[in-house]
Amino acid sequence: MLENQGNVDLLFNLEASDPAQLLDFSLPAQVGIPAGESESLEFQIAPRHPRLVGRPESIDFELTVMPALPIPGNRTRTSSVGGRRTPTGPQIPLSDLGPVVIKGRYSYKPPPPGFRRSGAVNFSPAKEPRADNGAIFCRAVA
Amino acid sequence: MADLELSLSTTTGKVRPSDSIEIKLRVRNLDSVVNSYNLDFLGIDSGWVFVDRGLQLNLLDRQSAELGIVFQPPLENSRAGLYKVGITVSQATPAGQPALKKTATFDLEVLPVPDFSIEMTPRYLHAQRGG
Repeated sequence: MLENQGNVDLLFNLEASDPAQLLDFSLPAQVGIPAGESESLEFQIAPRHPRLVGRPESIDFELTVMPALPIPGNRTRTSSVGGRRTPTGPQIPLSDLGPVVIKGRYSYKPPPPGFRRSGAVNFSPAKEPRADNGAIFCRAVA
Repeated sequence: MADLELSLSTTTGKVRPSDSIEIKLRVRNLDSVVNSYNLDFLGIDSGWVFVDRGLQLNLLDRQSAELGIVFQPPLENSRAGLYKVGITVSQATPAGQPALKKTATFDLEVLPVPDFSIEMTPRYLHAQRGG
């Protein structure tokens, strides 16, 4: 959940990565959120080379959020996020506010020996309670 | 002919939300009789404005008065941007009679205060190939 708590529209540049580059991330590169509003984003994480056998492994990743001010008077394009269209475009970086880095961990468990059926990779949240005020919902796919 | 004159100490100003900026408005009664005047503010939330002498003013003939006007946009719901504030002084007249009215313009810039929060959940994802 990204919440613009200021009094000016903001652009957010989003970037996800893991040091070993074992994961693929699917998320919007830029999101515009008007002043006082919030946006729930959903992005996908998948292993680049899913293993069919082996031990479970955990991969640390980072989500970097870089806020910026839209340049007044410039044309902006729109991107569709969460069913809504928000403005994006040229920007002025806000070094005072960011970037903000959030760390996460993706755990992958290959199927047990003899398991042949293919299907989606499912995930369930860890034992951490989910925040009531929203989330960036991550969905893992095969 | 009744007339009045308005002059502002400055015509532009910048303020951050929750901070304040004060300007002076001088009102001069150019008439040869006593007049009462009402102040109105256009282009801005009236809750952002405080006038040290209130919104009503009485002036003797040829007399002038200086009013302190404070603009204080609140921390919340004060969108950044330029507000063209019209400060209107109108003569209080009996109903039905045309009132003398003059407007001074003040450009108030509410400065941007960017702020945001982010929450990602779950932080830990468990994936398993399954059917």
